[in-house]
Order: sequence, then structure tokens, then C-alpha cells
Amino acid sequence: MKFAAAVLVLFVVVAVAAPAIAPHDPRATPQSETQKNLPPSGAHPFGTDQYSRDVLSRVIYGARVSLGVAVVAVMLALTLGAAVGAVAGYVGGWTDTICMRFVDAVLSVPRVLLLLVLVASTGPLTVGGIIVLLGCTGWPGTSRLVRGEVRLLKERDYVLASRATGTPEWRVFVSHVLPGLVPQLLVTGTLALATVIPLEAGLSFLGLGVQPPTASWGNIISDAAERPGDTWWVVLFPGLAIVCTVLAVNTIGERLRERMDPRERPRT
Amino acid sequence: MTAPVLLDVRDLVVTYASDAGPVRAVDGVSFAVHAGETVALVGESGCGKTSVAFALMRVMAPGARIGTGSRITFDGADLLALDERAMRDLRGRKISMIFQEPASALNPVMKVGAQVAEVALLHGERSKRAAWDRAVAMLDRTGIADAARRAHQYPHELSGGMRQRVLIAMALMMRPALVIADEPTSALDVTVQAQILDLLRDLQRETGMAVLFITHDFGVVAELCSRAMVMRAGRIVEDAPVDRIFHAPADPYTAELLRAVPRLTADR
Amino acid sequence: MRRFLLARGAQALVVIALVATLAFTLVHLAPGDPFAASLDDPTSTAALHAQQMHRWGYDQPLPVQYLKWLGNLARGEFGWSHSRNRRVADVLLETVPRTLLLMGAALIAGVLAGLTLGTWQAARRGTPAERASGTLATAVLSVPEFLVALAALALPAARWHWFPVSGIADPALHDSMSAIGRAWDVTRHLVLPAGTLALLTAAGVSRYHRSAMLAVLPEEFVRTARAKGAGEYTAVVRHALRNALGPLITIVGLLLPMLFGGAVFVETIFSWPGVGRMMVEAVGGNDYPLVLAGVLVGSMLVVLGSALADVLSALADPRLRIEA
Repeated sequence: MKFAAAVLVLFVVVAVAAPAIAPHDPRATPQSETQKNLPPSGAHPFGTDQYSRDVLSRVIYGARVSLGVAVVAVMLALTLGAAVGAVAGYVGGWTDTICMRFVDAVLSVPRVLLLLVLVASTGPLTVGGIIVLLGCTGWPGTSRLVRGEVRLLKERDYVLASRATGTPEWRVFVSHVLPGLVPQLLVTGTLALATVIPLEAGLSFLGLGVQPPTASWGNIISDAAERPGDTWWVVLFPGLAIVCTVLAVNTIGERLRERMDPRERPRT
Repeated sequence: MTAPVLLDVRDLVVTYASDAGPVRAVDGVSFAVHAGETVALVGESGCGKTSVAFALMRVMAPGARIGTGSRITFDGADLLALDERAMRDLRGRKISMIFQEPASALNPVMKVGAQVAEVALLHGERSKRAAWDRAVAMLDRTGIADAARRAHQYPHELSGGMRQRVLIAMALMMRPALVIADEPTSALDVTVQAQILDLLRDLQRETGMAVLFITHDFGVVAELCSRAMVMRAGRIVEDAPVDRIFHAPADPYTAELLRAVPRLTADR
Repeated sequence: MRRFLLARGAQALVVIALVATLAFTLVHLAPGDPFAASLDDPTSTAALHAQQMHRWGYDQPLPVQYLKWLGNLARGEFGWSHSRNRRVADVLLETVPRTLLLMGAALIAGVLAGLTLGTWQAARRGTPAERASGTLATAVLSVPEFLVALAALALPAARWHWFPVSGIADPALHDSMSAIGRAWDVTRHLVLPAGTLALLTAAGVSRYHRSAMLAVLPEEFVRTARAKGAGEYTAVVRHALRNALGPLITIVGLLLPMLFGGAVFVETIFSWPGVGRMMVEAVGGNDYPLVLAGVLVGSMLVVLGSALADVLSALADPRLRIEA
């Protein structure tokens, strides 16, 4: 847990301080044949790619994009999910049924397919566009959770009491119900990060996510996708960055969940 | 008592690992069972009776340990010195056990006939066909009507009494020298209890097996057993013929237990 | 039981219909059009472009296009793939079996490996080797499919030449081979892509199955088996394992979306000409009918797979068989 947190903090620091840390300009493409596809060395600890760019610098800048996209997309997904879940849980009846059927449908489509369809309809994406897409495909799980909790919480005395004083419904939700959901959302959000990071990397790897020359961990790798064995450093280092981050986030998410739910604790 | 000693237990200690260190469930128990004898081990729930039974069969829960000073001799062999393979050969063939909860002691996804036949297959029977026929014959002997058809059913399709008969059939399949019956009737209705006790008595006379009858019910003790050992908090506090236990209990705890029994069958 | 089957089937159909509508809406709200590329072609004209749009009905109002599309679907007609110049149905007939082969092989291998590992872990709970294997499974689950696939491509295929690098069959020799030779050829091409997906499946299954086994092992009937004289193997495998399999079918149902998502990457990396690779190419080529068909087929595989899993798990449990 501590180790996982340390890894994550390290990556965040790297992302924030990228301009100060990166040894080279991640987009600089020296027009020199001798700088192409260099294996790791003192000058380029992670080597260079087929456009002679410094892979270390690209991984460092890639952290900004990859982590940034993931965090914002997850926050968007949580917000959407909480909103839909709250409406479904509060209003109930037909609204609830329709919302939940819709959620069932979305959840049963592989998320990658959903994203492919969205990309097909939008064309090449900006970073903002990717965030919106990832956010818009990530909310159904959260909405189910929030709906369930809302249905439990809305019968609690303090919620009933504040409603009785004439407070508008949405304010009751924001000031009384939502705070009770924060721990759950924190766990869901953390675990969602662990699925969104590989998704963004995968999309960018397919050339359908973050567009070059902007570096993201996924599209750095796609530069070597044809022959990953020949320039292994272009695949290995950003790949390790993805795996370490996901592993760290997963570990933290699981621990948070165990801590939150006493029933989970004896599980080994 | 002229019959030879079949089972000799000396200073049996069973400890369970717990968060607060090892707990002694059985705290230095010594007794003997003679061939063909029916002996009761009586006590309240939680006194360590079942732990004794599991220790004799060496089928304890993980984390339970038999003390180093303990000795169990069965039919001349030192049980605690046997390797797992030799012990396996003994279980079900020389010593067998009838369990407390027929509902949970049977495998829910296996036909009852197959569960009985398995005993024969584990102990030398080569032919599946022959094992099945022996199982059906044994089920028939334990009073299951239409045994050939019942053998093809699953445990949940049988009544509680019938399930207990299946367990008895399983225990007696190989005509063991010693049967440990752990509260075999306490999960059953009163009328069914009486039938099962009659069945056990008949089978005991027929096969000449020794029975170690574990129970909290003095009524059962009076009906079946010639000798009783009273257990309290991991120790045997009294070991005497049943007549003497009922008419002149030596230990105050035995007397107390007897007073708690509403009506004694020994009045007959 | 019949009522359960009907309800589950109806639910699956509703989901598929919703997905179809959703996908249609999304794709047709798109700003681009399938013939945009032809505008860049100097020999093409705006008039020709408009003519093409008209010919394929892209100039009609959306609701009309939607109804026509549904009508065609009902007749098994998925439309025309502009990027491949073929009927979409023909493309599907070719790609779907390949994806089924890939996923089926991965599923079988992955589930068997996962069950073995999970059972072993539960039986050897707490030993150093067991802990290490658990950590490893968690780590594997944190590696995105495309990285596993790239690693498989880099080492066993490209570096060590154990297996072919790409495709489903040898492009030059396959047609001249005997039937057995062809089967062997496809198997050799199948190992790495299916192995990649199987690895992830195994890691996922082992984690669930381990806890399922840990829940069953303390059960009384496992002790009964030991008391009968059963050895460790018989008690664990014959008695405990079979009782821990109930949730497995459900778990496999839950893994299907993940597996299909993985297939998209694996097919692309290994040039396995299945539905996943077809989707990626169709997205790149603005081939809407093909994209729609891909989504539809993918969701159907997953939805029907999960429905099948539910039905199977109801059938597998003798306790449910009668009551349901």
C-alpha cells in the first residue's frame, strides 16, 4: 500500500514537473539518420524512436497526458454516474426503469466497441474529446451504485427531516446524501482509473486516441508496433509506466475497499 | 469387560490457533473403547466432544493441532505416528464417522448412491458397477425404501431422516471396527430420531462394531450405551457404567447435567 | 425453467435492440460521411459525391434510414461495405467464425488454466509459492492486453521464431496443404493470439475461483470425503471443486466483454482477420455499415454469451434444476 502510493506520487510528480525533468524536447525530431532508433544509452536512457525523439522525455510528457486524461475522465464519469443514479434513485418509477435498462444495455457492450463507435462518429480526437468519450462510457457502473445507495439513504431520518423543512430535493441530495456516498465513490473512482488508463493507452495505440505528435504512453508504443522486438525500448519503458501505474492504482483501490467494508476484511 | 481394548486414548490435547494465541479445546483427555462396546461421550455443546472425534479421525480443521504428548492407539497401531497414506487407508474402512448435520455432510452435487459407492471404490473395489450395487444394498439395509431409485437422487431430494441413513450407509459400508457417531440425531425430528437410534442399535448388534456415541442427550445415552464419559471444558470429569451415572453420579457436574434432562428414559 | 429461459432470452433481445439503436444514432450523428475521402480525389466531383450519397441513401432523413436499416437487419442484410466493396454480411460470414475460434480457444485454455491455478492456490493457501502466484495473477491483470500481445509478438514470434508473426494461415503454402496440414497451420497461428487472451482469462478466473474454493473447502461434506478415506486430491478436486464451479459460469459470462475488448487489440496486433480487426479498420475507413455490424455482432456475442452462462449455471446446479 505504502509502496503503491509512493509509486503513484512519483508518477504524479513526474507529470507535473515534466518540463523541469525531461532531458529533451519530446517533440524534437532531429533530422539526422544517426539519431534514429537508438538503444538506451547515457544520452538517451530510454533510447530514441523512429523519428529520433528521446523516449524518456516522451514518457515523462506522456505521464501528463495519460494521467491527466484518466483523472479528468474518471471525474466526469463519476459526476455523470452520480447524477443519473441520483435521478433514477430519487424519482423512481418509469424514469428509474428506463435509466437502469439503458445502463444494462451499455454495460453489456464491450467498452472498447462503444469507444470505437464513438470514434467512428467523431473522427480524430483532441485530448478534450478523448476525455469526454472516456467519461461518457464510464458512468453506468457508478450510476447503479449511486442509485442503490440513494434508495437506501433517502429513507434515513435526517434526510426525511431536512426534506420536511422544505429544502429543495436537489439540495437535500447535495448536502445530505452525497457526502454519505463519498467513500464509495472514492473506491469506485480509484478502481475506474485502473481501467481508464489502459483504455486510453489502447485507443492511442490503435491511433484512435491521443494524436501524435502529442505524447501519451499508448501512442509512444504504437510507433514501434510493427516490429516491437527490434526497438524494444520504445515499447518496454512506456509499457512499464502503464503497468506500474495500473498496479499501484489497483492496489490502493483494493485496500481502500477493504478498509471501507468490514465484511471484506477477513478475505485473504 | 473381557473384550480387548480397541481404541486407547492417552492425554489427548487439541489446540486451535486463534488471534489471542492457541486455545485448548481438548485438555488432556484419556479413555478407552473396547471392541463391540457402545460408549457415550456426553457434554454440553462447546465442551470439546467433536474436537475429540475429529482428532481420532485426524480430520481436524486447518489450524487445529494435536498436542505432542498425546497418544492414540487403535487396534494396536499408533494412529498419530501413521503417515497420511496409512491413515487414509484406515479412515472409512476401520474407523468411520457419522456426522451431525446430514444436510451439509453430503455433497450437494453428487448422487447419494455415488457418495456411498465411493467408500468402496476408495477401499479396494475396482468395479464401479459392483461398488454401486453394494451401495444400493447398503442403502437398502439402512431402511431406505426403493433404494435402487433413491441412489440416483441428489441429497436435496431426500428427507432429513433419509439423508442420515445415507450417512450411516456410508459409515458402515466397509464394516468398520469403530464408528464415531457425532450427534447423529440432533438435527432430526423426534420420531425420526427414534428410528435412527433403533437402526444404529440393530446394526451394532449385527456387525459387532464398537460405537463411540457423541451426544448431549442423556436420553440417547440411556437407550443405547453401556458406559458414559462426561466431558466438561475439554476434560473428562466422569467415566462410569451408565447405571451408575444415572443413579449415583460421582461428579457434581454430571448431577447438574442430569437434573437438566426433563425426563429420563432410564425410568423404564 | 421454461419461464426463466424465456425471460432471459427476452432480456437479451431488449439489450441488443437498445444497443443497435444506440449505435445507429451515434454513427449517423457523425459529422463525416463514408465518401468524404473521395472528395480529395481530383477525378471525383461534388456531383459524383452527391450521387453516391444518394445512391446509398445517406441523404435521407435519419428516421427513414433507421427504419430501412432495421428492415434490412430483419432480413439478415447488413448493408454494403464501402471500404471493402463487398456485402457486409459476406464480410461477417468470414470474420465472425475466426473471432469465435480465437475467443473459444482462449476461453477454453484460460478457464482450464485458471481453474487449475485457483484450485491449487486454495489447497495450498498461505504457502510462499501460493502467495507469489496470487501476486503474479494480480500483476498480469494490470497489464493491458495490447502490451501482452506486443511482448508475445516481440519474443516468441519475432525473436525466437517459435510461431508465425501474423495472420491466420500461411499466405503462400496454406492452400497446397493437406487437411491435417491446414489445421496444424491455423493452430500454429492461433497459439500466440489465443494465448495472450488466455493468460488474462486465466488470471481473472484463478482469482475468482480461488475464493470460491476457499468458501467450499471448510464445508462439512469435504470433511466427510476425508473421513471416508479420500486423499487430498479426491477431496479437493472431486468434492470441493465441483461445488465451487457454480459461480464460474457466471464469471465467464462477466469476463466476455473484457475478452472481446481484448480481442480487438490482439487481432489488430497479430493481424488476425476477425471482427475486432475489422472494426478498427472500419472505423479508420469511415465504413459505417461495417462499424454498425461489428458493434452489433460484438454485443450479440457478449449478450448471448452471458445469457447462455446464466442458463448453464441454472442447469448445472441440481438444486436449481427442479425448482427453477
